[in-house]
Formats: sequence, C-alpha cells, structure tokens
Amino acid sequence: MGDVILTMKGIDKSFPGVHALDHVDLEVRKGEVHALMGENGAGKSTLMKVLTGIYHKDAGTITYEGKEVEFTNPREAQDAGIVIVHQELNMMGHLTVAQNIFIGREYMNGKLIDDKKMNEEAKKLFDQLGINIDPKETMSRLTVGKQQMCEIAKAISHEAKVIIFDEPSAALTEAEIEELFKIIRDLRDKQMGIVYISHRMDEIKVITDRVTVMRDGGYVGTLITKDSTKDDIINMMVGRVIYEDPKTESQVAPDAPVVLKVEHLNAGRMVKDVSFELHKGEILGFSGLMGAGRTETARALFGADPKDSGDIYVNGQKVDIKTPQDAVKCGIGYLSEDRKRFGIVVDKTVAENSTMASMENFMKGIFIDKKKEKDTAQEYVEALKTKTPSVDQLVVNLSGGNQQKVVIAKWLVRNCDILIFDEPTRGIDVGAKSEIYHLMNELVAEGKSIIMISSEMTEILRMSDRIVVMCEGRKTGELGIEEATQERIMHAATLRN
Amino acid sequence: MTDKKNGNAFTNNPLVRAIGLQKIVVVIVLIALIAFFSAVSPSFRQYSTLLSIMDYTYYLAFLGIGVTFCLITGGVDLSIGTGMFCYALIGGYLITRQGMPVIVGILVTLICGLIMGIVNGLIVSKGGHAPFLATLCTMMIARGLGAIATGGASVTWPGATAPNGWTRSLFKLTVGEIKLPLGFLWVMILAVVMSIVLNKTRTGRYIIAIGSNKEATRLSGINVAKYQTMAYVFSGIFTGLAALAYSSAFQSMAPGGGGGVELNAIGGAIIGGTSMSGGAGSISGTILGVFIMSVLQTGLPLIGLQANYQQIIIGLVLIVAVYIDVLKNKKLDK
Amino acid sequence: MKKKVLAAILAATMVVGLTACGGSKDATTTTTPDAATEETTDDAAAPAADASGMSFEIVSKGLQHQYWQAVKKGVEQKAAELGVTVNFVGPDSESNISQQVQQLESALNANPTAVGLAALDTESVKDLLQKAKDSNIPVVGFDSGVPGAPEGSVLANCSTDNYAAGALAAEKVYEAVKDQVANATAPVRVGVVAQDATSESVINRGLGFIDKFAELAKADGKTANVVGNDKYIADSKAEKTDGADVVIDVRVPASVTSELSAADATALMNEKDTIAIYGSNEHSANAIITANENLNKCGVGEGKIVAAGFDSGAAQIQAVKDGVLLGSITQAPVAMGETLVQLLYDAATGNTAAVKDTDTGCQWYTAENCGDAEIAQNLYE
Repeated sequence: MGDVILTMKGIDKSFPGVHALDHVDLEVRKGEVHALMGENGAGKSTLMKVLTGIYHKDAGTITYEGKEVEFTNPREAQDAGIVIVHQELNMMGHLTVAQNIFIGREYMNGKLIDDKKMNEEAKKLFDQLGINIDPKETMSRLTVGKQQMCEIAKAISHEAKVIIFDEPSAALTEAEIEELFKIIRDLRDKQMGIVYISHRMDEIKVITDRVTVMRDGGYVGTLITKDSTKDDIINMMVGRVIYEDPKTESQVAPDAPVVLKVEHLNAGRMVKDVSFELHKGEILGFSGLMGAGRTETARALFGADPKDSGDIYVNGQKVDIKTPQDAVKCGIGYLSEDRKRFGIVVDKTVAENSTMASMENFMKGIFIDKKKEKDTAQEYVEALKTKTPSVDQLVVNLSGGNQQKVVIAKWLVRNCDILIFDEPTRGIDVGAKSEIYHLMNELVAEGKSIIMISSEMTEILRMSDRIVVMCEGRKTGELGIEEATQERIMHAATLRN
Repeated sequence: MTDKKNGNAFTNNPLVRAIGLQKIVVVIVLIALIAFFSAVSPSFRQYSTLLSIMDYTYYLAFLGIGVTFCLITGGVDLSIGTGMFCYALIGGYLITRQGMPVIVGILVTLICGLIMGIVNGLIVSKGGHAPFLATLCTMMIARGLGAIATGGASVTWPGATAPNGWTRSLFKLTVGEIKLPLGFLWVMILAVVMSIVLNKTRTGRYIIAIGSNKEATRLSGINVAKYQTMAYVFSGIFTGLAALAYSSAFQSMAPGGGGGVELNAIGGAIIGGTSMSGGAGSISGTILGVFIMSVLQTGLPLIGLQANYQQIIIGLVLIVAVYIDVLKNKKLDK
Repeated sequence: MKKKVLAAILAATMVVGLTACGGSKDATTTTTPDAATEETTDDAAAPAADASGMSFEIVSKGLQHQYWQAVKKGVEQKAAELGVTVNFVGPDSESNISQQVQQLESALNANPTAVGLAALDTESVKDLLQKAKDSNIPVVGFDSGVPGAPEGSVLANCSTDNYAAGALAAEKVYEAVKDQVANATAPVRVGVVAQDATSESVINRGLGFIDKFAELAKADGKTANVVGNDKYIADSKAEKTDGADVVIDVRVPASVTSELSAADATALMNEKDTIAIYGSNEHSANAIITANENLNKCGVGEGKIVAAGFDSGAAQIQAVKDGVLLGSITQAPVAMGETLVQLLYDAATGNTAAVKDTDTGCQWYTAENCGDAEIAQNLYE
C-alpha cells in the first residue's frame, strides 16, 4: 500500500426526511483494494455519488491527491481520474466496443470521428489488461462478463487513479470473476486506488486489503482484511450475529405429496429434457453455474417462454401451461431474478403491487376496492416485516430486500402454493437476506412449496431440502441435503457432455 | 458460450453484417416489386414511370431522412406530414398571393421547418414530453397554422412554365424534350451527407447513444437534451426540404392536408431497418424503404387496383415491417 | 417557466400566421358589438325591415379552394351593396362533416336573420334544419345545396346545375375526339379523375360527363361501358355494354390528396387506349396537369390525350393557355355568392315570390376565350 490518494472526511448529506450520510469517513491509498461494505441503504452508493459529483455534500471535505476538491458532475470527476464501474452496466448496446469506451471524448479527424484510431486505442487498452475483445464488435453481442471488462477498460482509459467497482461480480460466472480479480490485482500493482463494493463476503476476503463498513448512513469502522474474520465484518455491518450454517437434514415429511411434477421438459437451447418433482413443504434448490439453464427452466415451466415439449403435473393433474396466466391459475408464482424488470412496478405503491396479480379479488363492481387493497397489503407488510412507512409508499423508495418482500406478498395474496424464487437474495444485503431466509422457512412450514434458484453455494446448502443441479441445459444431478456438499454440487455442475 | 449469440453462416458473414441483413432483404423485395409491376403493367416499364416514382420518392425521402434521426433517439416526429403541407402552404402563399420573390418563399418554407424542429426538440428534451404526444400536438398545430396563414385557401406553387416556376426545375430538369429527375441527385447528396453526420460526427454518434441507452449517455457526460433536440431539428429542416419537393412535384396543396404522409415516411424508415425502439437505423436503409413505398404508390394504381385496396396493401406492408422490428428487438433481449 | 417560453413561441407563431392572412378578412365581419346585442334582444318582436340589423350566417363546404374564395367574394360584394352583415365559414377540409355540423349549430345559435348552407352531408344536418325551421330562421342552399332536405326546411337553392355542366364538358371533349371514336378499330378509353364519390356536386359533374359521353357515342352507333369506381358505375344512367367500343374509366383516390390523385391520373394516361381524360374539379384537373408533366401526352392529335378540367385556379388556367387542357368548365362562383345573398335578403324581407331555385350557370373556356371579360370574372387564380 502506498500513500493516501483520496480522503473523505465527515461527509454529511441529507435528503428531505432522510439523513443519508452522517459524518462518514473513507480513506483510499494508492495500490490498495478497499472494500466498502454495508447493508442496502447503509449509504455506500450515496457516498460514491457524493464523491463523483452526482450529489453535493452538505458538510465534510474531500481531499484528492493532496488538494481539496468538489466535483459538480461525473464528467469532472472522470477528468480528474475518479471513475465508477457501475453495477448496472452503462453500455450503449448498438454501438461498438470502441465507440462505447470513447463515448464523449472521441478521437477526431477534423469534424469527423476517427473510428480507426479509436479501435487501435481500444485494442491497446485490452492488450494492457490482457483480455481478448474485438473493439469493432457490437456491444450487445458480448456476454455480460465481457461487457464488464469493457467498462473497466473505459475506466482505465480515463487515466484513472481511483476506480470504484460497484458490485462488479453480481452477473459474472466463476471464470469471469477470476479474470476480473486478475485485472483488479494488476491495477493494484499499478498503484491505483480501488474501491470495491460487494455483498459477497468470500470475495472481500480474497481480493481486498482493507474494509470500511457503513451502517444506517454512518461510519462504523475500517479493518485490515487479513486480520479480521467474516464474522467481525458481518457484526459491524448488522450489529448482530448471523449464522450461516448449512441445513443438515430435510425438513420435509417422508410422505409429503408431490405438488409439482415436470417430465422431459424441453425449451429452446437452454432446457433439455429436464424432469423433477417438488413435494409439499419442500424447498428444492436449483444449483449450477451461470448459463446452466435454471432460469430458462423456470420461465418455460411458468409459461413465460415457449416450451418445445414436456409434461407438467400440478397436484397429480396434468396441466397445460402456455402463458404466465395459466401458471398463476395453477397456483404457481414466479419471483424473477430481475425484480425491476419483471417483479414489481417501481412507480406504484406497495399496496398496488401487492394486489397486482389478483386484481379480480379486489374489485367492487368495475372499481378497485382501495380499502380492501390497503388492508390486505398492510396485513402482509406486517406478516413479512416489510420496512415501509406505509402501504402507500412507492416501491421505488424501498430497499432491495423490502422490494423482494413486496414481490413475495404479491404471490401470497394470489394464494400461490408453489413459489419459484429466482435468485431471491441477489443485490440484497446480509441482514435482509436472513429475513428472506426466515420467511421462506415459514412459508414451507405453512405448507407452501418452493423452488429456489440460486448461484450462491452457501444459500443452496443452507436452505434446500433437496438440490437439483443443472449444467448446459441438462439436469446433471439430484442430491438430498444430507448427502450434499459443495464439492458434489460443483462436480455435477461441471458435468459437461 | 461464444460471443456471437445466434445466427448462421450467412448472417454471420462479415459482408452481410456490414450491410445489414434487413437491407439486403429490402433490396431483394424492391427488385421483386419492380419485376412484378413491370411484368403485369407494360406502362410501368416507361421512362415516365420512373419520373413518377421519383416524384413520390423526393418528399418521402426527405421526410424519411429527418425522421430517422428522431426514431434513432427512440422518439418519433408525427408533425412532419401536416408540417410539410403547412410550410409549403405558407411559402406558396407568400409567392403567389403576396407576390414575394420565389427565393423568399423557399427560405420561409425552410425556416418554418427549422422553427418547428426546434420547438419539437425543446418540448421533448427540456419539457420531458413523450415524443409521440409532443409531436402529435404540433402535428395538429401545424395543420391549423397552415389553414390560418393562407386564410383557409388552397395554394398552388408556380407552374413549370410560369416565369417564377424555376423551383420545379430543381427537381425535374427539362433538357430539350427530355425531363431529368434532378431531385434524385439532391436526395443522394443529402443522404450521403446525413449518413456521414449520423455515423461519423459526434452529433450522430450521440444521437445513436441516446437511443441505445439514454441514462448511460447522460452519465458519459454528454448533453443529452442538446443532441435530442438536434434530432428534431434535422427532422424539421428536412420537412422543409420535403415541402419544396412536394410542391414541386404536385404543385397544389389544400390546408388541413398532409395527415398520414408521416406514416408513409416513418414506414419507409422502419422498412429500411430503423428501430421504433431506438438505437438502430441507417439513412441508406431509409432511402431503400422509401423506394418501396414510392414504387408501391406508383405501381399499384398502374396495375388497375382501386384506391382503397392500395391503402390496404400499403398497410399490410407496414405491419410486416413493424413485426420484423419487434422480432429483432426480441432477439436483442435474449 | 418553460411553459411560459413555449406559450410565447406558439403565440408568436400564431400572430405571424394571422397577420399574413389579415388582409383578406377585413371585409367580412364588420358587426359592431352593439348591433349584435340588439339583434339578440329584440329580433323576435319584429323582423327587421332595416337591412342594417340583418345578419346572415353562411356555412360553405370549405374555404380551401379558390372557388370558395370567389363565392365569398360575391357574397361580400352583395352584402356590402345591401348593407347587411355576413359571417362566412366553412370546415377545414371537404371531408370534415362533423366540423361543418358544429359550424351550422353555432350559426343557428347566433340567431341570424337567415342562413345559407352548402351541406357536405344532408343526413347529418337534418336535425339542425328542423331546428332552424322551428325557430323561423329561413335557410337557402347554395352550390351543391342540401339535396334531399326535409320538405320545407330549405326555401331555395342557388347552384350550378352540375350535371348539365358535366354534360357540357362531355360535348366539347367528344367533339375533339369524335373522329378517333368513329375510326377506332379497338375499344378506346376515356378517363375520369374524380375527387370523391360522396359529394353530390362532384358526383353530378362526373355523371353528367359520363352519361352525355355515352349518349353521344351511342348516337354515332358505338357502345359504351363504365368501369372503375363502384359508386359511379351504379349511379350512371348510361347504357353499359361489356366489351364496348368506348370504356369510361372512373378513378377515385382513397383520400383527397394531390399525390394520390396524381397517381390515378398517371395510371389512366398510361393506358395505351386512353384518348381523353376529364378532371371533375380543380383538384382533379391539377392532378391531370401534374401527371402530364411526366408523361407529356395531353393535347389534340394522333397519340395525344384530350384533357378537360373543371373550375379554374392558376395552374389550370395556365394549362388551358398552354394547350395542355383543351378547355375547362367554369361555374360562376361570384354570381353564386351574389345570388345567395339576394335570396337570403328576399327570404328575410318576406319577398317569398323571389325565393326560388336558381341556376347560376356555367361556361366552357379555352385558350381563345379565357380573356373575355364575361368569363374572366369567374376565373380565379
């Protein structure tokens, strides 16, 4: 670790009604990877937005390279050498890789853009990073992982001295994460200061040098990573101890009836001859690497994507599910991995979202029974302990974990007995995670059945009664929780043809 | 997994990808249409038919080029149809009723287009109105203004033989006995210029970026409002040019007219591969698409099809084109 | 703030637009506020014998075409002469029936002395005509009038006999192609470009032409047939024979725009057997002229197509002078406007004997006679 390059001291920021940052400190040195951790709503993003000039601080100082600075927009911060690699990729899919990297500061040849030069420069950047991407390729044709590499290349091309990674690994495969880490280590060796925001505790241990923890908009403390344990960090984040012990035996009664049976399901290239059963009161984990076809299986089952062949039985009855409406009629609810796009309507209230899938039960003639809607929503807000000032709050204002709870409420209101959770805790912080887990356990105890798709091994081992493993569209393993280990699951998940 | 998500040897062929599959299909369809009309109607094979097709192409091409920029930003400009009539009415009114020099009429026509473009652009970019609604409103305003400006009377631009009818020679030059479709040259020159603007200048690049991902463009430090406005300004200026081309080809126009023309132009752009959802589009594609529309408009009456059936066929063609656009977007989402 | 700027821009644009057309409007409405209020307070008591208190509401079929502007001119001249107030309105387009109904309704609500009406669609104004009758407001039809109006609701019509005018065009055109028809070994085609198949006047001009042409051909021992638009085929009184010597081909565009009508004209003139073509109003005649710019076929003689128009306008007059059109029919719109106001005045003053249907006449004009004063007054640019 080298000298201090960036110091944020006593940063304070309020929005109407919210004290978002309460005298927060952060210090980044040259040649370190500095983790910024905290639950959602802890203020990490706000702090970074203050740093890069999207928000203006109310109090505090930012010292960068020995001088006090205050950026008024991201462009200024960029020009000074502070750049963010965003969690949600900020890519123009229709432009080429090189065009994306140099957007806003194109190489010009008189009045015309010099694309040739831009391709050459992009190529140089990629060579420097040791990655193989064609600068002339259209961005939308790249995988998410490659797109992320482009974002990093773009950041570096700004001659960045401080790079902020905002949950960079969320959508990457294991191999891509390895590649990402290699690049980050390279950047560290080049004496850049790196801020790394992530929820994945394992990654923090592997890649970072120091950890700064925030909670409820306040600064909690900074630790040297290698001198602290996972539990130390988690305790600082939530102020309470969380156990991540694997489940040791199935909680399902041996004679529990089969509520859902899928036989020889085929759909497109990603679902090939998948069969499985789901019992009443069971949590069936779906494990596998990115691109194993788990989400595709769920979507085909739910009628969101067309099936090529295969039979589905609900409670022993053969059903014909062609559309999501059919699935809902059969009592199947699907909680998408991408909440913002498929799960909730962000600019509607909690109450409206809760009842959206079962409108017909909330009608008074042709009008919506607003009172009944609110009462029901309130009931579920209490039952699920959703943190919202009222059911009239717009969902957009809730944190990720609470948004997820609203989605769960939506399907519970609809009386769905079979719930498909697709990455239920993605982008949700540790505290909210354990609440969601608790909730899922309560649901199965009440006799609901759950299919849980998850990329997190600890989540699979902690929650599932039984585990289906997929690889490249095929089911490659099925393990009872008693026999499941990380190694066995990983073995099945890599069973390629 | 490979980066090339789907497609086969043909669609992944570098040449096919460079030109764009849709454009290749459009050229084939265009050739097929011309072959069909030529086979069915002997009169389609005459030189004069080429002149007719050109009459329809000029104004649609100008409207198409302009609106392509709006479509690429993810917006649309519905005011171009009635706008074209409005500006031509005002310009023609000044020439024929007020006795002003032709050049004044032409300039006023173009300036009207420019002003409307700026107004549309500001309403959309600064006012934050949905482009569909904003330009639907200005479409009505243009219709009304055209009628008010001329006192509700129809306007006829000077005829080819009239002393001040030289504007018509700009598009159709008579050399001895032969009429040359000179306007085609202007369309081609402007198409090339605007193609360069779209693909090789910052303005064009940022217009594509806005249509592809507006938020990301903003975060890249680009003045989104400015370039969004520019798209509508292009559309306005080209609507002014279209007004000149229309009055040159068809001479007279009545107030209240022009509604529906915008759909032919937008249709042409979409046939040529410009996406309604923004980000993708090309001027060359639009020109090809516009040719499909103008060949249909000229050819269908020649094979003796009654008017209402012609409308149905053009409508069907548009449905197919929009459907292809929807399919493409679905593919992109996957 | 933004809204204010926007409003200012719009207002400025409007002002520019209004100033540009201001000149032509001054003569029309000169009613003072006083006159208007008097009108509404005491009109029921005694019909004003004094012309200065009279106000006529005239609802035309449009204001766009120069034809209507000429009618308006006649109306204004006569109104000034009689010293009455006239308000002349019309819908934005000749297909905007609902707008015309609204205009008629507001005209009646203004409680005028009398109303002049050229209905786009009789059915849709029937109720209002009844209302006018109930409130004792006399109604006089003009131009195409109000065909099929309920008995007694329209006192009289002053109009061109469109059917006769169309027939006159047919006579002149037939005269020019008589030999070609007589000597033809194969069927010949006569094209009719019609703006629509809904307006009574446009239909009658077409039918008058079709019927007369067929009749003349028959007199020369030839058979005729009508093809194209179904409405014209059905309504034509001509004897229709399959495989006839003379085919009369009627084209109607899907909507009234120059480019669609030009396409129709182009298609007709491209038919190898076409010997003549007729456009039944200014719009359609312009379409023929536009088509001819590419085809260069109009004229008299071997391989040429004899073309005739209807009404006038700058382009059409020039085409007649250039010999592109053999000639054209002009109505007498100025006279029509004058006659209308006279009839309204007569009706308002109780001079019932004078209120009767009046043909305002038509003329055939060519390159030779278009300069004559009698004709020139009815030609407008």
